[in-house]
Order: sequence, then C-alpha cells, then structure tokens
Amino acid sequence: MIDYVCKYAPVEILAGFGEESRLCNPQPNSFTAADKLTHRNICSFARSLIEIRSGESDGPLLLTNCCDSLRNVYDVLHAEGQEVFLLNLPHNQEHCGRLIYKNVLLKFIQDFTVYSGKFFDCEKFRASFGKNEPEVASSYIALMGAKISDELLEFVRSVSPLPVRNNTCTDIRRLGDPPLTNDVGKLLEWYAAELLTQSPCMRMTDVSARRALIDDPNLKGIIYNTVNFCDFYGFEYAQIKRTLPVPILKIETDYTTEAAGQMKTRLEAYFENFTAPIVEKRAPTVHPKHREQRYTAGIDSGSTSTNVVILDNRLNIVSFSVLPTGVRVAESAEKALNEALHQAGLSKPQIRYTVATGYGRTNINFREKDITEISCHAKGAHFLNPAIRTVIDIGGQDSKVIRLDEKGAVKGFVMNDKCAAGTGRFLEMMAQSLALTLEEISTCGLKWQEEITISSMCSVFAQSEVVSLIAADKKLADIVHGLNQSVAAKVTTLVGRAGMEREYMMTGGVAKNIGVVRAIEGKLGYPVFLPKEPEICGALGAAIIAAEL
Amino acid sequence: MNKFIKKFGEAVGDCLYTRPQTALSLLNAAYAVSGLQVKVLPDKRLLPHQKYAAIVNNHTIREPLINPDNSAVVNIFVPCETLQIMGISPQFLEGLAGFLNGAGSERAFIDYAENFGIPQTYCSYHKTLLGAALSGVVPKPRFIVNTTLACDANTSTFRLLADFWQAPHFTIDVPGEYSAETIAYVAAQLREMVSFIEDIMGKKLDGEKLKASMQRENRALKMYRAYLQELSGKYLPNDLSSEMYKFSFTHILLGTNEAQQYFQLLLKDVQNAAFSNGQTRILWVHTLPFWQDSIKNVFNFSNKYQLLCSDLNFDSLVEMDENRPYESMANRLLLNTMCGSVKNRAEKVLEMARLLRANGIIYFCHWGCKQTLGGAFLTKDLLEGEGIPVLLLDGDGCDRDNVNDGQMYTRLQAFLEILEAAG
Repeated sequence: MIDYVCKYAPVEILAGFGEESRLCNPQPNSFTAADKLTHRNICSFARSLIEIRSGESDGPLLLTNCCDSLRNVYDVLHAEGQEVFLLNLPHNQEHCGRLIYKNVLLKFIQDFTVYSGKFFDCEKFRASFGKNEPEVASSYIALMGAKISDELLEFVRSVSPLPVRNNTCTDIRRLGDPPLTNDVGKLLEWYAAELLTQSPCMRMTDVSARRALIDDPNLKGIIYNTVNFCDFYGFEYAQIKRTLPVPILKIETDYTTEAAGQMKTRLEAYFENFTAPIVEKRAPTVHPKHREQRYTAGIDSGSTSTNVVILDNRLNIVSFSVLPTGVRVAESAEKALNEALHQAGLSKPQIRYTVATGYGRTNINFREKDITEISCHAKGAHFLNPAIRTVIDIGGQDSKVIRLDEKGAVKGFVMNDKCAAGTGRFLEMMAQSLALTLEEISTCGLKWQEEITISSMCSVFAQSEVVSLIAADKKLADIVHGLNQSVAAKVTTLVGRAGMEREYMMTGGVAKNIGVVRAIEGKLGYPVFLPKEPEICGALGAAIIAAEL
Repeated sequence: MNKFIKKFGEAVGDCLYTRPQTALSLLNAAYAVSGLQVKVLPDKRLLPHQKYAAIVNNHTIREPLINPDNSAVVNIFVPCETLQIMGISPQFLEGLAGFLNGAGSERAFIDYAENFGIPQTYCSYHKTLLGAALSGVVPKPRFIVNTTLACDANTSTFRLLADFWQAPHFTIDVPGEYSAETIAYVAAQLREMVSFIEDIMGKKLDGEKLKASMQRENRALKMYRAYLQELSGKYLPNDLSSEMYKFSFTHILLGTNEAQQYFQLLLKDVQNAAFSNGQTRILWVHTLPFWQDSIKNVFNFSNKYQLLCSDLNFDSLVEMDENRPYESMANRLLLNTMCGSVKNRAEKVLEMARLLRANGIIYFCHWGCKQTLGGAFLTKDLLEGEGIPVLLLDGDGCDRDNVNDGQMYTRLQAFLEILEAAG
C-alpha cells in the first residue's frame, strides 16, 4: 500500500505497477515527534504527516513538492530513513509545464521499476481510471479551501442541513478517459495534461478555473477550511468573501483533535443563521390584567462565568446573576439560576422556558433549547440598541466579532484562533504577572506616559515581555497601556476581518476593562457602545429567544 | 526605535484608510531626506562600500515610487538584468518592505493586510508590501514579474497584486530539480518574459547590452569571490543594514554598473582591512532583523563580533555565459541554494562557514518563511555534525511587534558566551 497526499500524485501509475494506494490524511493527537524534527511554524498538515510517518514505516509515501512545507516533509522523512518519493510538480499548467511533468512521471516510472522490481503495465494503468460520477443538480453546501480531516468532514456533514460537497484541495480529482495506446510516452503526455488541468489548487499559477467552484446556482453556502500555517487558501478566502452571494464561514484547523468545542460552536452558529433566522417578535400586547405573568430564563454557560437573565413577559429584566463556572458546568448553571430566581423572588416552576447558550450549553439538562452564543449575543445586542451593527464580544477564552443587519439577524461573524491573545484569559495572565487585580488592571493603564509596544501575536511571549519590562523598571501604567493596545490590536484585526460597520458594541467580561475599551475605541477611531451589564448580553439574548418559543 | 521614526510611522498609519496619497508623499519625502543624509552626512563608521550601498539602495527603492509607470514589481530572485538594460526600475518586494519598516510604518501596513484577510501566519515582508499596495499607498507599476523560487508566498502575493492593480503579470516557474530539461524550461520562460516586457514597454531588448551586462556580472562575481577569500583572514566591521543592502547587489542589481562599482569598493575595503584578531566570527543564515536594537547593539561595527555574511548573499554565485544569457540566468536560478532540497542550502552554508572561518552560525527563523523554518532542524544537525555550533533564532525580519526581544537577546547572548568560552 502506498500513501499519497496530493491530487496531482500519479496514483494511476502506481496501479499500473499493480500497487494499491490510499489518500493519507492523518489527524494526530499531538505533534510530539514532529516538534523534535521540524519547526512548529510550518503547515499543520505537514507536521501531522511527520508525526505519523516518522516512526515505524507504514509503506512508501508518495509526495509532490506542492508547497514549502511538504518539501520539508520529504527532507525530514528521507533523513529519518523512510521510503519517500518526491515528484517535482510544475506550477505552470501550460504546454511547457505539462512537458516537464510528463518527464517527471517518466522518471518516476523508471525509479519505481528499480524500487519495486515490477514493470509498468499500460493496461492496468488504463483500467484504474474510475468513472466520474455526475454531480447531482440540487442545493448543497460546499467545503472549500485546504485539506480537511476526515473527522471534521464527518462533523460538518452531520450538522449541515444540506448535502455537503467536499471541494477542498485534494478532493476534487477528476480525470478523463485514457487513450487506447501502449506508447508510454504518448500515454504520459496525455496523463500529465489531465493531472495538471484538473480544478487547480491554489499553488498553481493559473487558478482562474476555480471560479467554477463558486459560480454554481445550486451552491447555497461555503464552509471555507484553512489549515494553520498553510497560507495559500487564506488568499482565496480574502478575495471571495467580499463578492460571494452566499454565506461563507471560515474555519481554521491545526489538524489535531483539539479545539473541537470552538469548531462546533462556529459550525452550529453558521447553520442556525443559514437555515432558520430567529424571527423577530415583540412582547405580547395583551393587557396585563388578562395575562398570567410568565417568565423566561437565559443561561450563558461560559468558560469563565455562568450568567443568567430572567425576563418577564414584557421583556423586562427582572433579575440577573453572574457566577464563576467552575469545573461542573451543570451545577454552576443551576446555582446561577437559583441566584437569579432568589433575587427576583421567583421559584423554578414560574420559569416557562429556559434557553441555554455558551460552551456549556449542551450540558444543561433543564434547558428547553440551546442556541449558540453568536445568535444570542446578536439578539441581546439588538434588543439593547437596535443601531448596533457590530458586536465585539471578548470572553474568557475567546473573542468574537458579530455583524448584524438592521433587523438584528447575524450577517457574519469571526472568532479568534486558539491563541489566548485578545481574550480575558490573556488579561488575567498579565494581571497575575503584574500582581494586579482585574479591577486594578482595568484602570491602571489610563494614566500612561510612555508608549510601550508589546507583542500582539502571542500571550506567552507577551507574558515574558512583561516580566522583562518589570525588570527594566518600566512604569506599571505604561506596561498596562501596552497590554491594552495589544489586546485592542488583536480585536480590531478581527473587526477588520468581519468588515467594519458602525455602530459598535462591546459585550463580555472584558468590556468592563475600561483601559481595553478606550484602546479599542482609539484603534477603531469611533466610540463603542457599552451596555450597563456587558457580561449578560448572551444570557439576555437567550432569554429573549426563550420568550419567543 | 527612534522616537521620531515612531511618530513618523504613526503619521503614515493614520493616513492609510483615508489619505493614501498623503502617506506616499510622506514616505517619498522621508526617503528623499534619508537619501540626502546618506550622501552628505553618512554614519562615520561606515566603510566606503557601505556608504555606497546605502546611497544606491535608497535610489533603487525611491525611483519606482516616483516613476511607477517605468517600474516593475518583482521578488528578489527575478533575473533583473533584462529590466535594467531596458531602463525599467525593478521594485523588489523584500527591499521595499524593509524600507517601510525603516520608516516605522510596517505595522500599519501589516494591520491593513491582515484586515483584508491575509493570514497572520504569512511572511511579514509580504504582508507589509501587500498592505502598502492594497491601501493604495504604493502606486501601480507597469507590470509584475515573480519567480516561484524560493517561497510559496511569491505565488500568492504577486497574483493578488496583479489582480488588485489589474497589472500585467508574468510568473517564472522554477522547478526544484536541476537538469538540462529544467534549464531549457526556465530559459524558455525567460525568453517569453522578455517578449512580455517588450510588448508592454513597446521597445526591444538589445542583445548586445545583455551580453555586456553578463560581462559586468562576471567581473563583479570575480571581485566578490576575491573578497570572500580575503575576508577569511580579515576583520571587516559590518552592520545589519549594510548586510541587507548587499542583497540588492547580489540579486536585482546584478549586471549593472552600480553592482560592479560596489564589488570594487567591497574588495578594496577588505584588502585595506586589518587581520582578524580574536573576534568571534558569525555567519548568518537568512534575512537579518536590521531594525532590532538589541541585535544591532551586538553586531553593528563591533570589534568583538564579526558579522561575516548572510547566506542570501552567496545563494547563487554562478558565472554567466554571455553567449547563452537565458540559459545562464536559468542556470543561476536552478543552482540557487534555496532551490530543491534543504541540503543544498545547508551544504553551501557549511562550505562558506569553512572558507570564512566562522566560529558559529546564526540561523534566523524568520516568521512566516516556511522554507527556512522547515529546514532549520536538519541544517542545524548537519552543521553541528561538522563541528560548527548553530543557534536557531526565532524572530521576525520585518515586524517589530512580532518578536520577543528579551528572549531573543538572551538566546543570542548565551550563544555568543558559549562560542567565546570555546575560544
């Protein structure tokens, strides 16, 4: 069995040798072995290949030099004594590129003959070409971009309301029928042209044929997959997102099984918005005398705090609570709800519906429904201020920017990557290093004098920079100001990616940090609306949705 | 960073979204002033070849900003002999990004590019230029040419620029394998590139001028080889910026009178230099963080540490055949140490480390450069296996906000301490 990773790999030639081949798509649990053999900042797929293949040999691996990182995989695995073949794939798909690739394939046949002791058989080669199944003309969601792990592909398929077509780089491999000749030269001339003129991947020079992947009336939405440190596809996303008539969601993976929770939230939120936009309803207009007072609760089970809002049937907030989440999500939710009930003088049976949101939403058993925090924040923000078009939510473990239309429906959203920079956790870590409380760090930076720049890319680097700044006797206010600027830079980059549109609102715990808020306002060049209780916006949205059930 | 430069960079950044033309005017004015300064009041520590390099680089970067209609945006590996003899100014991405960093404005451009959707993990030289172009600050050139050597970013960046500017675009595909076929393949593309340029510019390339350019290039190469030979026993004060400026002469200015003049001065300076006297001799791999004070303070004009050379300044020391100019340029591209296996580069570094009697090698892991990052561990193993200590130094050659300065300095200092202790 020979593994290959690229759609330009000549798997039919392997069949011509009577060899079986399979697409290698590893998803390791960690990069322990890879990190010993190569730098961390190369493409995660390349690292996952090194991780899986650097141990015991699992048969030969056939690579193309389709990117700098995969060339590196060849060098590393070759040095490790693995059986690896590397084919030089031209960037140019025109005639001269095809000629070069034909010669590469010819040389591969010679090398493989020597390696395997077998002979290339034109008949077996021809017989290996499968029939291309015609695409069914019906509405579908396309997965585009870089390679996607099998697990994530399955998950997308399981939550998508429409059939999912896998148009990621390796999975759109379509070749025609081979000519009936036994002249290997002619056969390879045809084959090189067929391989190079497939729907191109982004490393090729001419990618204009990719337009066909988008110009399809049956295409209803795109999940755009990018792999960490593989930059090719970020470019296509950046260009198409501006003009695409269908909703698009960008996801980024590092090819491990980590961060599944955040990915789940993103995908579910995308499909919620896609299939069933939450219908705007106003409070009932029945006279209070004739109406039984009914209450609804929204629970936002976040990574740091669990927040509850209780509304009456006129959508007035009757009480709310904010408690630390702790290790038991369901218990914390129960406690936070009891606290809010206690404040309102209510009992649990008086709550007609409960909607849960946040990372822990599915663990709350007494919920009637769970909705992602994207939709809930949007709902809450629109309720609090209908002029809002961009919600910046900075929570404990992630930050999100949500774009709303004039009716409060989610137009699009972006979330930070796994990195803690630009989140509440980042500020907590920094406050710890500076021996400040969260309240103190909120205002300390306002009286800054010297502009200090702190890396906006990595919280670990930033923490060690802070330690260096303390050692350099820099003023606390200046360091905190530098940190605020760093968070603001990260967040405004997200805002830029979502598409900047006024009015802005900030929600989440970090909205209570006035230093960060000022820094964000400075970078946006525009004031940010702050609700009275920014932490409860998600829970408020959930409670409103409960009232609409 | 100097406070004035910081303020200047902020002023440029403030104009990006609303007044890109003002940002360009500010940059042009600043480069005019710095051009005058390097001519009239250069740093007294600079040697003649270094002063000359600063003047020529300033002109090389400014000219396409002032006369964009007569310029082409290229990457550093594009064989620019053809452009030079046709009187077209190449604006090379890496050089312009470096100059934008010099004006303290790279972060504003990087932010712009990232807001556009360019991945954060992308090379910061490329992000800087993309931000400068997409914001409308860098004017549209007449055309664009790039190679696929030596990094993936070239394919993505130049394609986006061509699309954004709606400018004619030519890509030279450089395969990762050296053979008679690949030389012919690249040479054919170079001929096609010349036709492409002739059509756009409405003028013909003069074959005799190309021949003369190749001759100048060979003379310059001879002097450069003599310089490297001489440097093996000498101490020649160096600085990070001057080493970066050298990139122009070993790449896009090849074949020009300026490059010939530079190598003459370089050879003369090394011939006049003192013998090496106990300095710790460092060979550098990849680009240099010329803006970073902590690293500059260690190397610039130091009589304790001799910064010998960056490997990008000996990546393609290939003699040209004036009678086969296109095959020669193709040959040079395919023999570039960045082409193909990482071993090619590592072996050249080893050869030069021995020639220049390097005590240690600093392998600079520039953010976003998958080519260099990917080869880091293998190169370190190969060189250390040959008894040459290597420091893998993670950093960023162009983005001030993307480094952990304290950690970098500590690692560098510790490495130098180890080398000094080893004597």
